Amino acid sequence: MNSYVVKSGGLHESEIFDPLKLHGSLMAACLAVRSLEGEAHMTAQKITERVIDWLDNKTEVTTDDVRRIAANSLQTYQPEAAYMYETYKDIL
Amino acid sequence: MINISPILVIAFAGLLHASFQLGVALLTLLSGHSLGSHRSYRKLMRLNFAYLFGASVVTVLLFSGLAYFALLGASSFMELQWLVPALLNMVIGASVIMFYYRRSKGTGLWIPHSMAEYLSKRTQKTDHVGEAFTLGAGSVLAELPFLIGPLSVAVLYTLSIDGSDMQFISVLIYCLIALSPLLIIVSLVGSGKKISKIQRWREDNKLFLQYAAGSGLVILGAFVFVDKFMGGNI
Repeated sequence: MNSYVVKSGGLHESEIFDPLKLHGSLMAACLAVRSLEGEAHMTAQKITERVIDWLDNKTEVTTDDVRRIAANSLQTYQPEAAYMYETYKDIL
Repeated sequence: MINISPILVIAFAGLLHASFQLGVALLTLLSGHSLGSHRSYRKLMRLNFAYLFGASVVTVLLFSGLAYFALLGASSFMELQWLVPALLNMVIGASVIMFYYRRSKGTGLWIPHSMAEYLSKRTQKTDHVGEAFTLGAGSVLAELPFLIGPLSVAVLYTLSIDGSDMQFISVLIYCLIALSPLLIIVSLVGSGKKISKIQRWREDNKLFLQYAAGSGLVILGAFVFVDKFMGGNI
């Protein structure tokens, strides 16, 4: 699996999907709503795997696509974290 | 006998100052990033207090600076001194109603996207109390185009009060009320409240805050115009 992620706005070059980056941002969202570290790690792991499955047979996606799929999956496990993950860019 | 009316006006101006959201948004982001990057409780609170301290220092400095300049021109521009803040508050009030929040999901504010992105990244990288202090100070300065309205009224009413003790109490009342949202958020985060709850509250009440602040500023401007420029003769 080597999907390319196109940055929103199309101003930056596309880059290969980085599962660790997604895991990190998901974990940060969980920790921001005071989840325990182990729980946050497990949740981030599950969601990252789901996103990897979704990326299968796709060659190019946008960051917004990845965020949407990740947020929808996160909603199932930790709705509060999903809310923060979704609205992070709309706070300011 | 103490004339309570100027104190009430100053308190109301402080309340309008408190309704501006840039400082609150940055503090919410700072707390979210601190928690998200698994910083210790001690570090989280140190950053939040440094931010609050930065915002407090700049608020007091702005108040004092504006008071100094108002005193310099006190004798020559007496009527203009009251007319300018009166009109300023009405214009700012209308602007708040029209475009303080972005017409989109979330609590996005009037600031340009590039600036919002920069501030967001800067907040994420904030790791030292000095940076948090600067961020707090910067949040007050960045909001100055809106803050100048209620702040100028509070300054002029403070100067119109007799006695330095009462003037000092007025400054204290204004700053305490103006900074109360930051104080509340620092306390909520410190007591273990989830950032998502705070952000949800902000999002659910953003229209109320926008219209309350906007109409409040128009009312304040009209009051100053009648009370000081027209000499209370209505």
